[in-house]
Amino acid sequence: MSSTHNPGRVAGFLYLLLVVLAPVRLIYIPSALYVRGNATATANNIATHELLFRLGMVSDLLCGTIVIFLTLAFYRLFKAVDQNLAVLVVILGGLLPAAIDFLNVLNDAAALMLVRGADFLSVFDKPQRDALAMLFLRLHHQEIVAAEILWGLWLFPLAILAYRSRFLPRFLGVWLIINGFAYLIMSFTGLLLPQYEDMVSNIVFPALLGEMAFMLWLVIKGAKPQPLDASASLSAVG
Amino acid sequence: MHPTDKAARVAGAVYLSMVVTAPFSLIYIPSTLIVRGNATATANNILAHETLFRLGIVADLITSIIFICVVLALYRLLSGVNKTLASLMVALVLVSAAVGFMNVLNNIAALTLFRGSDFLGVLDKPQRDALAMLFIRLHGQGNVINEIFWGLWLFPFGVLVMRSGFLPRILGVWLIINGFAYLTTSLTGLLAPQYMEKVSNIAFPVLFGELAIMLWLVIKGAKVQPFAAVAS
Repeated sequence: MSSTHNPGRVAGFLYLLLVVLAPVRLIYIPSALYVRGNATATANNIATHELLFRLGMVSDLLCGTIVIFLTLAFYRLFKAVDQNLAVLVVILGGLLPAAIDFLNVLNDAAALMLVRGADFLSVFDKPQRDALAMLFLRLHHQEIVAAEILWGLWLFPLAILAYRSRFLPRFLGVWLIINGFAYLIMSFTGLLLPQYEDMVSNIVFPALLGEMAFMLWLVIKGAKPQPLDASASLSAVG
Repeated sequence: MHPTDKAARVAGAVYLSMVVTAPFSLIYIPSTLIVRGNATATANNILAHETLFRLGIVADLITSIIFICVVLALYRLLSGVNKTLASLMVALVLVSAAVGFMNVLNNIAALTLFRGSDFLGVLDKPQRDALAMLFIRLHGQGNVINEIFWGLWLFPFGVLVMRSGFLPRILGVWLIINGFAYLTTSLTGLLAPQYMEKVSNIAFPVLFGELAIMLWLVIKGAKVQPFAAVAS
């Protein structure tokens, strides 16, 4: 199978899948359905496009699943470079973000229940239900802001591994480190100075293309761990 | 007793203990205390049987802990077959356990609202009950979401059983089908909830794959061919 020949390309394709799916809930759903500061209009949009909203939930779950497989693919690619760092990639970039992704879907589920207004919710009038739904949509966003810390942190071990690997260009490793800092800055801005959130994400946007560049490199060029001399020199050092 | 055989029986015994805790919180508590669509009746039930509801919360947490122990025991049993697949199995279960733990908060929120502590006095009782009901529903949704992992981890597990050589291949196949059943139920609940009950009824017999492997591990253990196994 080609996967055993080129583990870098496997990771690249999983990464590509993530890059395609993540914006569905992250960017498309909010821009298509949310009306800023208007709970009623937002709720009505969600009610009329319920299936789209549900697909957003499923895409979140798919992303949560993909990151597990993606980071395990990175583990396989980089374990000969430094096993400890490769484990860190799996924990920070795969397991923890996956758990958060999955839990965050519950906020969407709550919003959807309130928008649909099941019988037992009739003790709240519609504006109240819409406002509560909006609260859960906001919480969904806040959980993303919190998760951005992990989205940034996992890039540090990944970047160091790419930098040291000798089978990937070093500038990609540097770019990934900058990308990691960008996520951390975005997260802390969202938590501490939310009024600057949009401004900061516009400024750091180019840095976030580091992951894109890394992904494209893996898809197009692939990556193979150098079989003998690299691992031999490492085990000699270790 | 051969070490692999012992590992198999330990894994099976730990696994089997989930048969007590999981259905208690997944089936027994909802069916005795929750009245679908009726927040007031549910509130009365839960307040009248608060300890039972709390036991459900504890059972949820214990199930997650046992789940971690099960997968570590299975890792010990099966990592020799294929370490990558065994690690994948552990990773999927760890995430599922985290989701399970956080999901308990929904039941705790419901209980807090049903009890209506002083600070919640600004909401009248029907509103508190309705909000509590919302959190009870969310707990159910949390399980629907977690079913994805309950399904996914069975794929590496099933493949490992098939390849092991010391467990019957048919059980591995059944586990994989079991995994698909969970995924189907979960995606139905998310995308087309109106068919949820129908799909769960169809999928139900398939879910006995897990019970089958538990019982096999406990009763029959692992049949290790002394030479071939060691050589491979």
